[in-house]
Amino acid sequence: MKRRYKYIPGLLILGLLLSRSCYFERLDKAKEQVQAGSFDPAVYARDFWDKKLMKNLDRAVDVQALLELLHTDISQAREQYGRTLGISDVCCFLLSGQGEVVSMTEDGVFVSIESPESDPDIMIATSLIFGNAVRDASGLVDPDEFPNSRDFNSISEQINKIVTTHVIPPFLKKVEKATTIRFVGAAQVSQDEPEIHPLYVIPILLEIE
Amino acid sequence: MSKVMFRHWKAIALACFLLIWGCRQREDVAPDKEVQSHGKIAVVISTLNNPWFVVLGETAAERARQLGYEATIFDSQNDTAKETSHFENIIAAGYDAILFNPTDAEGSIANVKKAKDAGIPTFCMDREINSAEVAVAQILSDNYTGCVKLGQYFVKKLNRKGTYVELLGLVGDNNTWNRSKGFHSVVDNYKDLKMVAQQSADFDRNRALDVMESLLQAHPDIDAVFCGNDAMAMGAYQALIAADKDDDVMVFGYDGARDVVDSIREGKIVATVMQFPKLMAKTAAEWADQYLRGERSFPQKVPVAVELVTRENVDKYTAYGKR
Repeated sequence: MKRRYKYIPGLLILGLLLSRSCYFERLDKAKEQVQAGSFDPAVYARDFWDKKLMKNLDRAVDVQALLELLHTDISQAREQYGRTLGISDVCCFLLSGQGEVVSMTEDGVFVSIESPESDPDIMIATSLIFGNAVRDASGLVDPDEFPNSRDFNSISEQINKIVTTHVIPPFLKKVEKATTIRFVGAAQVSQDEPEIHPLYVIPILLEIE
Repeated sequence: MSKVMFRHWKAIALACFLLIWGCRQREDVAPDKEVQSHGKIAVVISTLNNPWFVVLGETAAERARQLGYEATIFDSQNDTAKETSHFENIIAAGYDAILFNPTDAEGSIANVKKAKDAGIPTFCMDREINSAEVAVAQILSDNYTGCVKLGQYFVKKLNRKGTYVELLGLVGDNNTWNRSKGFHSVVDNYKDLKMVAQQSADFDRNRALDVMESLLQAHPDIDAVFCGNDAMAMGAYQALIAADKDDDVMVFGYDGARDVVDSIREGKIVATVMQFPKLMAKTAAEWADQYLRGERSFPQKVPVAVELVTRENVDKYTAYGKR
């Protein structure tokens, strides 16, 4: 009897230590906490679009001036008007202008800037949008803000969704051949293989005159 | 006391000789050492079991030597614990800078922090850590964009329909998810392109061979496989050859490794994405040198552009770069 009792204090202390060293938490509560601290790219993209991009469209270069320089001196165009992220031969441009629609396909609307009789100068993308052109052309998103490149990359996907769901559909309902349109958009040009005939432009703002 | 000394006079004499000789040696060595080296740079690589990382490590070390540093390569063998041990040794040995290819985006943060606390700047190459506070700079391939381009080509080659499997890299490496997300950001828009399986093969060729063999048993009629790196692409291709399906299943990789570039040229593997490990390694070494000379302004995350390599343009490329 006495022998048994001498273990009781030790067991009590052990029990106390164990109860302090672990705890139980509902899985859904734990998940909530994780999600509360995590980055939401859709929210960031929306904020970026409404509060930064839309208020800085005046940064856009006139498309005619840009095209003239791209056709004659890409390096100069890059230096004067372009933004390059990191180490790359690809440069992004934020551009604006107006022109006449000369043709339309399922992938895009072809616009001539100078004369409708000449070959189209730009193609406004109206199909699926990929890549980082809008994010990088604006110069308004700093990769150093993001400790995790996955978050930085997820922004582009959400920005492209805004383009495909909010910018392109209302435009496609109204646009026709010979329509004059005003646009702001983003383009990417590679130094080694510039594809500028026509220049592929991801639309940010589209207005029919 | 005098009796003891007398008894051990030979040992005492030897000890005195060595002491005097050692001091003389240090005087002779020191001036030469100052002329030859600006300091020591450690190059810590995730694994030297993959030729791509061998190129990364050796280029970084070579550039550091050209800039006047002693350079030593450390192999972490894809083991964060081993990496930790390397960092402890590097700190204790008084290295001046670290060129670092992490094993784990989260797990490696503590090691870089220790180095920072010891006054040793770290420059990450190819793989990032999930912190913007500890490394001086992180020079990384733009993997997401690379796989957007690959995804667009994948859709075109499969004509927007078919079934495929995906072999992922190490799940703790952000590169794995940047590549996968970039690929899916394109491919998932096409409802007739179906991923029937997705499994990690740890960026390892042998593991990929085993995984692909299993996947082929469950999904014998797939049209393509997308692999998160070229080592896995070669392993998957080996499995397809063994199953006599190499002509039926398209293989897509990522890295720009020699064997895959050659395979593309021969019309076997369909495409890869060329990274530029030599550029990343040289940039890291040069920035370390600038830092040690006093420069402090460096961007934290530096994406390095990558390029799609296909049968149409493979002649412009060689292993790990352009011709």
